[in-house]
Amino acid sequence: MTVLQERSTVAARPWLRLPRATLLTATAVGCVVLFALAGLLAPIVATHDPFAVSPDILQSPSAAHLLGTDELGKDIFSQLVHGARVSLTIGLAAGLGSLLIGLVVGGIAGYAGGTVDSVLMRVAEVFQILPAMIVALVIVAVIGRGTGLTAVAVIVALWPQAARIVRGQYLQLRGAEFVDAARLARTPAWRVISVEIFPVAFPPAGVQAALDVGRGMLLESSLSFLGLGDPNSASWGAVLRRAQPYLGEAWWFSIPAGLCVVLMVLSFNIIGDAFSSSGTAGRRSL
Amino acid sequence: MRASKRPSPTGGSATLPMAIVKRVVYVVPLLLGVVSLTFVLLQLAPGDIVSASVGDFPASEEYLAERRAALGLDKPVVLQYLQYLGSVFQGDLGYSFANRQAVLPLVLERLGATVLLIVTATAIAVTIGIPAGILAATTRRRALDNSVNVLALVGFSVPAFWLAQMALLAFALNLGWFPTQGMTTIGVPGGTFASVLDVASHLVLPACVVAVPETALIARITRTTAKGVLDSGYILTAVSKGLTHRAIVRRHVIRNSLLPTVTVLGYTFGTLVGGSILVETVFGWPGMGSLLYQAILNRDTSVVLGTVVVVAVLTLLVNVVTDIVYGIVDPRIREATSL
Amino acid sequence: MNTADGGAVTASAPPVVEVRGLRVTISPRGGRPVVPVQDVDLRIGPGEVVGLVGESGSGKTMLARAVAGLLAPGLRPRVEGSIHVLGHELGSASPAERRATLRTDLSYVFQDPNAHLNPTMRIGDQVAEVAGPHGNRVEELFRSVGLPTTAEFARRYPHQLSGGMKQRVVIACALAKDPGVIIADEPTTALDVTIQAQVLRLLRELATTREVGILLVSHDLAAISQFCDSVAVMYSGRIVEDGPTAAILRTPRHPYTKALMGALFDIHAPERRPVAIPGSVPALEDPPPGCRFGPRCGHRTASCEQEPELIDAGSGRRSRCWNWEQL
Repeated sequence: MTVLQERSTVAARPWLRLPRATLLTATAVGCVVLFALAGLLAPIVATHDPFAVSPDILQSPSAAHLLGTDELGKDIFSQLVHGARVSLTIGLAAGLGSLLIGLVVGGIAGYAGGTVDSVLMRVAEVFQILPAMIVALVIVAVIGRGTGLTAVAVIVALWPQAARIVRGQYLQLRGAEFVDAARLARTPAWRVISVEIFPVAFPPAGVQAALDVGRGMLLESSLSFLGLGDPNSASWGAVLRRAQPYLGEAWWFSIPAGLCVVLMVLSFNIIGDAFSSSGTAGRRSL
Repeated sequence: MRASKRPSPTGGSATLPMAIVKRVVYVVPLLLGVVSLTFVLLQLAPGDIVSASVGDFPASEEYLAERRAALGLDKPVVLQYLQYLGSVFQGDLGYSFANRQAVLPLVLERLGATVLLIVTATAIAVTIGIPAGILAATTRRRALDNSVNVLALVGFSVPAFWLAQMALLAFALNLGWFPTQGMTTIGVPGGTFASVLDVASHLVLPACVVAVPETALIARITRTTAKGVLDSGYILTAVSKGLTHRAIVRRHVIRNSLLPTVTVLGYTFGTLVGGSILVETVFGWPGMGSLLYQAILNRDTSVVLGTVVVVAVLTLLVNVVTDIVYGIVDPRIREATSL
Repeated sequence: MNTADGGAVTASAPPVVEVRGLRVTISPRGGRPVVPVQDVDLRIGPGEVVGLVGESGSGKTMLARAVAGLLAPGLRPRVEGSIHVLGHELGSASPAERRATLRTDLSYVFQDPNAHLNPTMRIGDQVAEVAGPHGNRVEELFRSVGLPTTAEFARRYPHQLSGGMKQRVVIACALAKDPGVIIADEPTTALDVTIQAQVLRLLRELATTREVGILLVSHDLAAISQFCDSVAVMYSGRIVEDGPTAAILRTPRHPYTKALMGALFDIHAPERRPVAIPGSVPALEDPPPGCRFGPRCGHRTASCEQEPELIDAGSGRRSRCWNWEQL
């Protein structure tokens, strides 16, 4: 095993190793692009005003209504197209927000160590004791509803994981040779952090951010399902909430909306998974 | 790693009672943190702390005045905070006007149903997840490994409430195999064998739905652990002993993958509670999730925050117990996971 | 150098291991294929201890693993040449045949007993697992490696044992199948210095009393000189010199062996400072042209532009140096 271990340490560490493009990851990326386009171009893609009520209630899919209508006669296809917007907005906010907080909090905790570290990590742990679902739910339930609040609630629920990962990386690297060398050369702390440590600590945090986009989307749809989303937007979760009484009668009401959530979240999970496993080399003996 | 650097088998680790005390001491600030969080939320809620905790329900002016006086709302925020802490730690989580009952017993009353749901779901998840993870890690067929991995990712990605709806649609509404709502059928006498069967038939669908992401999680953890085990030296030793692939998996891989996986179970309690909120809502299962949802609809904030505190206490309790169990089974697990 | 007399007996008996023209190519995922072992001939007689020395990266572990058929599948190894172990040809054998040899004839002792014993399995069970229902009894095996034979001891877990005891358990595992061959890959590197000699002495004793052929892989020339009948010196994937231990160490016929000896601290001549070998082992991906040792060699001549074969240097010795006579 000696030969192998030496070889793996010699290998240079690229900034972010690109995963091998498999059919699966390609499909996932394609799926995200498709939904993103639908969300961005929602007013053009949608065939109807998603909020326009009509007398054609609970109609099955037809040429006029591609995915049928809901209990108020609103076009479901158009609602789903606009729903992609909501889902992506909250998802990206969750990913970027928790990444940013994670890099700052985790970076400070990991670099400073000692009391600062243990206090920050205890705070993170407080948020982790409570399930993310409950944290987000309670924030929205107690304070109020709205897209901004949903985003805040989701970020508050999700940030600790990213912070822990970044901290772990910094702790590992604090003692690393090249960081020591930079310190001995009297490089200022911020430079050590941003130039020496950050590039190595970023990839795992980036993977977590991709997963957090998916988790954020799940949380958003759950909140909307419980009637705690933004009342003025067409969210997939909200569609599913209103579909609940009509499960038996109108499959087009509940099935497509749910598939949208699944495909979107799954795509981000697949992308995150591809990045996280792209660096692992097997040295199994079996 | 040289032998001399390892802790000696006799000394090193603290005694069990000391470890328990240490864990409990560690937990207190976390609990304090959670309660502080609920206090902050109360402060952020529209209206003052008392009207917020009472919500939309008509409460007697006397009670409101009494609460205001008890919490000293005219006093500085710091004092209010201390008073709030004091009452929570004495078990006073406030009063629910929607239910005309104190919050703590109200939440505890619903605890049983949720625990039943979670324990059943965990049992299902372990039964499916562990073999799936071992199979994925040890198979020589890449396709099988990949399928388990992708299935697990799907399990993570499906929103619990939608899965609940689909299960309801397929197995309760279309096939009629299981009841759609609740935990019991009205008219079935309690305490009999028939009533146990009745509860079981109500339990199947929600438990299966709660089990889905948990199964995915366990399968992935088992897979990762087992792959780590496969990379370890003693597997190479087993190969050098001339053992067959099957014998190696059975005697060496499964055992060593199982112990770390099982200890992770304790830490997933919180996530399970989170998932069960939505599932309980769809199936009308009378647990803490339904209570929380009703409280949110009623703007019954004292119940909402009371549930949060109870969930936090439970999660911490389960974590401490897990840690202690881990400590008892310890040195072997520590050895197994560190190598 | 007290064991050189053992060599004479074994020369006549048929060897337990005979390797000819061995070449190992590995193609790890995401890397170019490299050849860590090339053109290797090796012979081990019954009761003989053959030392395989070299710096880390010289390919000695790869060679040992290849002989035992234990190269990690993740490396996607290709093994060419002939590996004869107790009458079985393993070079072209199926996995099942190779497993059968590992089951009954060939044992492998790994470097680090901390990593190579299963931490959740009782040590007695780990030994019994090899012995099978009809094999040696665990107590006898423990006795023969100098471990306590009580039932209580066999029920212990590895973490309850010291490093030296653990390596004895590993050796007991190796003996359980009554092997004709033991490959010991740096069996003492992970142990405290005081224990190292004990373990090596045990291996030496087992070779003599049980007629086991042992391949002792080591970077420790001092250990080799004490316990081995013959030595093969490895450099950059090739054997550069081999022959009887005493002769090789007294008069090295390859500049690399000579340099290795020079790097050693000699307790009988403390005034002589050890001399480090300049440079480092060439990377597998990028070997130098001509003699592999050329760039680090002090005896370099024009003929070294071309890589030498192993040249017969008389009295059972071979050297891969054009200028061996001048050394």
